[in-house]
Amino acid sequence: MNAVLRTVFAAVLVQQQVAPPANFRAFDTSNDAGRSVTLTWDRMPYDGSDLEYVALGSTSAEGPWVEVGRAASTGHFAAELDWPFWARPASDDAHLLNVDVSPIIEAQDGELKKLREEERAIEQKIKAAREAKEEHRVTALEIDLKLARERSDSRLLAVASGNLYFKLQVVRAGQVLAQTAVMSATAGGNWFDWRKLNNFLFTVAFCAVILVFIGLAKRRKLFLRQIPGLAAIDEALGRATEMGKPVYYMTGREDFTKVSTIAAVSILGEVAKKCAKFGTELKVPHTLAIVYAVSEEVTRQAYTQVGRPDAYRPGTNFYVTDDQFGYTAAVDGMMVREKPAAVIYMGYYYAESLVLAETGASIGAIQIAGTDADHQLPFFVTACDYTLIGEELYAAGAYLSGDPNLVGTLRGQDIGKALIIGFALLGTVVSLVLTLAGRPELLDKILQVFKAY
Amino acid sequence: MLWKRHIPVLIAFLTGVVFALQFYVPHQISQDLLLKANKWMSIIASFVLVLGVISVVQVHYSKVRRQEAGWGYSLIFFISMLVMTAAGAASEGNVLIPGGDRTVYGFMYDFLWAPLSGTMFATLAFYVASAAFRAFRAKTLSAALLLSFAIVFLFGKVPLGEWIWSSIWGDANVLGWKVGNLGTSIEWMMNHINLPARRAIIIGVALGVIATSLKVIFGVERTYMGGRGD
Repeated sequence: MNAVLRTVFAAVLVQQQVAPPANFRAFDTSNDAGRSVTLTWDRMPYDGSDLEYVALGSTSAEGPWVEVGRAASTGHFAAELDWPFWARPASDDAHLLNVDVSPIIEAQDGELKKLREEERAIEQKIKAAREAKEEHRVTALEIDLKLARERSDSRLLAVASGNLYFKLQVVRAGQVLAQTAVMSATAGGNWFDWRKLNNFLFTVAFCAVILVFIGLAKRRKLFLRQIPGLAAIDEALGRATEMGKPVYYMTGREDFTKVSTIAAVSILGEVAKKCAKFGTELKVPHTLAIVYAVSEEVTRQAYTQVGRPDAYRPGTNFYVTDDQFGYTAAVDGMMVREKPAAVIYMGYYYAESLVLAETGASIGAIQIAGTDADHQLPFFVTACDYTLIGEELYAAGAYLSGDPNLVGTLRGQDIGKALIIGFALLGTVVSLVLTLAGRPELLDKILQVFKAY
Repeated sequence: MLWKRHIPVLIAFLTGVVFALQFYVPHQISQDLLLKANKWMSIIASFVLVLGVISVVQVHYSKVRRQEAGWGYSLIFFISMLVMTAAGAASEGNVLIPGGDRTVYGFMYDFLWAPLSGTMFATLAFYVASAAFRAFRAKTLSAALLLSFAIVFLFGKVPLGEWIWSSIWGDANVLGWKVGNLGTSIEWMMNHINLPARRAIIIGVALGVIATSLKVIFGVERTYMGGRGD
């Protein structure tokens, strides 16, 4: 009897010593698609001991409660969050716990429970079909599973956007010593990721600079430095014309999701115009059907624009294969058999770059390459006569056409580069000064402004 | 003009702006939009593949019909395409049959296509050697510098080279730099000389990408539509 009384007395004493966490708040986690709630509370005097915090959630203020997170009292501070200072939801020394609300809804929402059961049943069927090596059935079931998951996700988000309830307990060795009042929050999606604010502002500023210079270029002629690789295109085409041999042009191995492919097709239009004027045969082997279709139209239009629609042959652009080395073998074979006088590689390339360029070099073709694939640049520099390095590829369209609108964007790019160089130099000085002045926290904040989140 | 110029520019503008902003919007609707757009792109690409097949058939058919130089290769192309398509259809696109054995398609894929592709990839080694030979001819000061750096890097990156180098230099120390410890020096050069140069290229490329994207979004660059529309 005495032992029981002593235990009860000790428990009461501990509870008197441990106050509930102060300033407990629950709110929608910012910068996410939904499904998450952030809990914050103050650093407490008893932090650092063997106590831990347990977060409980429910769809009702009265419970039942589901454990949604656990945090040691020694950690989980807002400062640990890899977010920039302007997007942090609490002061650096406050405790912070991002909790996934899915377990609450899955445990307490009848409809979601049913949907999850459906998912599990389909997963079992997929497992059985895999064991029986019924690949078609697996494919069909995987589609079913995807649809079932979409339905569950939709239900989860619908419930999460309603009110959910949270409380926080202070626990030692499974014994609850204190708990906060119940707080409610919703877990909705957000319409702006504030962590990316720096990126957004830099992009807007850069876009403004580009647009201003497009406007300026319309009013006065802007100086454009000579790019030897582009100046050499005329030389290459002239050589092909004199020799009566074709010009090969390649647009890279990426589709239009890569901007370098758009640049390559744009340059193709200018090269096609020159070929049409000189009466030089142009051959454009493609590895992607979608690029082939667009290039075909671009080339046809180029011939029309210079008044030589009759000179255009429908086989100028042709599709070879999607396969990387199938394409390489085919183009290498054509180059060896036809011995083109000039080969132009523009766009994005992978391992085939050197195989193609070395074959071109072996047949004595004048070769011009332009790529933003930095890993392939050394190969092109080695094997080709001229190489447009990185951004020069994007400048090529403007350079060849001389269109003031396009030239204006180049000046905008130069301003952007000048700003980046300026920031890099300033950053070096500031970083040195702040390190010497013993202000690393200020330096960290400055670095956050230039960090990608 | 409306259909060939204004409507495509409007579509490019709207989709460009929407998907540029999509990057900053974490909402589920925005994520779903991106997912759907990617699916649509795959669907469109699948349809365009038909155009590609028509193109490749046209090119090779015309070569065979006119018996142009190398028309035999075109014939081989048709035979290969038909055999592989038939094998794929007969195997219902499966590489394996229940039980784990290969289908005809799987057999052809593993024992014809894969070795051919691998062989083509393997030729890269020879091309690297021939390109290196050409690049490292020390005809000019810059080529000589390139050659000497390449030799040092080769020594530093290959265990045998590193061992030979450390045997030559031992514990030699030049102004605090341990000459024999080449691996560390190479790492330093890669991180402090090579990487900044690459970063400069990448920054330039990133600005070029943004500028080109803007040109497309605002209809300044319209070559991809088949000319500038003027």
